Amino acid sequence: MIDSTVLKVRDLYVTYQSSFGPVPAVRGVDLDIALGETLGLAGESGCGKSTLAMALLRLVPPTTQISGSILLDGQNVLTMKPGQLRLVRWAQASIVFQGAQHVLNPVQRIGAQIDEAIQLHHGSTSSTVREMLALVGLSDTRADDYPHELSGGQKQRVMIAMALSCNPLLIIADEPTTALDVMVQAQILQLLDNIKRERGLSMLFITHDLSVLSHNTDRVAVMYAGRIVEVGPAEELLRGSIHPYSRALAESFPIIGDPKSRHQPKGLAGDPPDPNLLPSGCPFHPRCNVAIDSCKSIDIKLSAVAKSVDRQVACVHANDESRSVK
Amino acid sequence: MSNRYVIKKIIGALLTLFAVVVFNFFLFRIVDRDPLSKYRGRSKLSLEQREAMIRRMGLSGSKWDQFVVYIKSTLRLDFGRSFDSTRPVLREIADRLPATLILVGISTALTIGIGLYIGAKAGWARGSRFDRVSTSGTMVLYATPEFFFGMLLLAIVAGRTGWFPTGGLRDIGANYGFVDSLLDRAHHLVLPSLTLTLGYLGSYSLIMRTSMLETLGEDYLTTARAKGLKESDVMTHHAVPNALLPSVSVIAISFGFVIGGAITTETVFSYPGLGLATADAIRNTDLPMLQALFLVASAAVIFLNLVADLTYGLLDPRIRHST
Repeated sequence: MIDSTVLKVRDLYVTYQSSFGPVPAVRGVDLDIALGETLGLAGESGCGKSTLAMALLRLVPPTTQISGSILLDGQNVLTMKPGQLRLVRWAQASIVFQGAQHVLNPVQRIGAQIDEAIQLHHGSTSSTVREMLALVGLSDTRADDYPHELSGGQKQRVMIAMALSCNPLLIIADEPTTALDVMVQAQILQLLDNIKRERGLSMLFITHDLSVLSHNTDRVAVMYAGRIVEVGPAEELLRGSIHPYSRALAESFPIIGDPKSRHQPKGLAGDPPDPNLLPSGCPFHPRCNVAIDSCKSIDIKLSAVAKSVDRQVACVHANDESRSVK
Repeated sequence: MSNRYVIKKIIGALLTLFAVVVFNFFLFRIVDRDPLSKYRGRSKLSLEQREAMIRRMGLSGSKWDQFVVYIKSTLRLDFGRSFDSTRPVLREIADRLPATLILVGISTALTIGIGLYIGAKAGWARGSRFDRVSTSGTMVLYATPEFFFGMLLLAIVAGRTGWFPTGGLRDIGANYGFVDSLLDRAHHLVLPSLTLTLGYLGSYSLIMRTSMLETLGEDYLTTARAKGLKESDVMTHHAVPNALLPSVSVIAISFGFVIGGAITTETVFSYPGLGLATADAIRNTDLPMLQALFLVASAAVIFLNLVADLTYGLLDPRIRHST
């Protein structure tokens, strides 16, 4: 069992240092990703999901405090020396960054940018730039292009080629389709899905858009205010979320074929809380429509729900019959 | 780089140069109604001689006639004769040009090399000891006029220790072989080029530091780190090439100041180049000489800006491919 766990995160806290004091962005997260498994991580902007992604390879600013443990293929990323960390980066886990507009160096040819990673980790890969471009459906003449000569979708393909170039175990896809239009978004999702299946990769797929998680993830975790509030098998969770926040998140997207939801998508009033001024008790209670008095003082921990062994929810109502699957 | 980009830039430079030539025409015609009022031997000339001289200088007839004569002679590089030495202005300039080219060339190369290095390092390690020390140091250099460095070096290094000559291009009257003569000239160049380098080091370094700071937050640096690159490689391969772009354009603008700096530096060290010639020509109101020197200085700035534009095109593929 242990061997098949590619990523094991325990009690992870990430606290940024700002001029206004410490900012707790991730507050006690546990995550497991098995070999070949895709975990979807969903939440609003500012909930800490990108911080979590960056922290996995220690790409947060040097003054940031990280505690807990991040076991990547059994090795703790948080205790590695810089040299060891550099060897693990990209070779064990790579990142497909958001947007890809600014994540490629504008004055370097894309072939050289892919090759840079290959040369750096030549021990773990024998891939060539040409192969990687072919894998993502780009012609090898593209290697001589600069990023500004590519469309948004092509840049994201280059990013994916780069992320795969060193044969990592885990791909961290941080909102990989957010900046793209819908058609290209579908193509990129398809591409990621195919590659993942062919290569048996594990993936952490981060998004604010629950609708993209339905067909390409095995499990889904929902994050709110630096914490995971609900986790479970993708289909089950997306069909009937238990936590009121996951439910609101799911309902904020219109359902195709349901005109009512298209014309009146349900929004969630209010903003995600400022990490510096977290509400007492359950951080979601000020925006929650089913909050009870105890929510203001008691913060319920993520725990298994009675009716499903694979699901965990952090809510006082988790085991209420009335909140069962619709 | 596309040919169109190069041709466009060259045409732009030529048009600017033409505008300077036209401006020069008017500038030196509003200085004085009598073009010979500053001519030293004026009182000894008869009326006819004066008129003949004015005619020869292309200053008779209507403004349009004068303009045509002026353009024609400028194209022939005929700038008349110096009031001061009575030699042709072109000869005077040709004699003094190499000295200035060497001085400004060496100083510019040193300033750009050292300035960009310090600025890049300071910006990259923002807030570090190196950053704090170098930034306060370069601020002082930036704020101090270059002739002040010149005077300090002259008084302390040349005057007290005698390690370096106090001025001139070479030892007068000495009879050296080829190698010794080169060494002697280099010896005379040290203090003036040091002065000019110190004078402009600060601004180049501060510019580069600012561009570096702007680059620090860029996403492609996170990509480079995620790939497993060492910090030093992230800096040299990714941050510096991008930070150079804004620096190159700002540095191009500052070339005009370096030419100005050459005037004061050459004056402080009695270094017989175009800068000293300019100072002398201003002092003697040597109008033909000044007119030509203005043109040379403008042409130099325009040329260096053209070089900077083309360098920019080489460094930035986005410029290279557009147009």
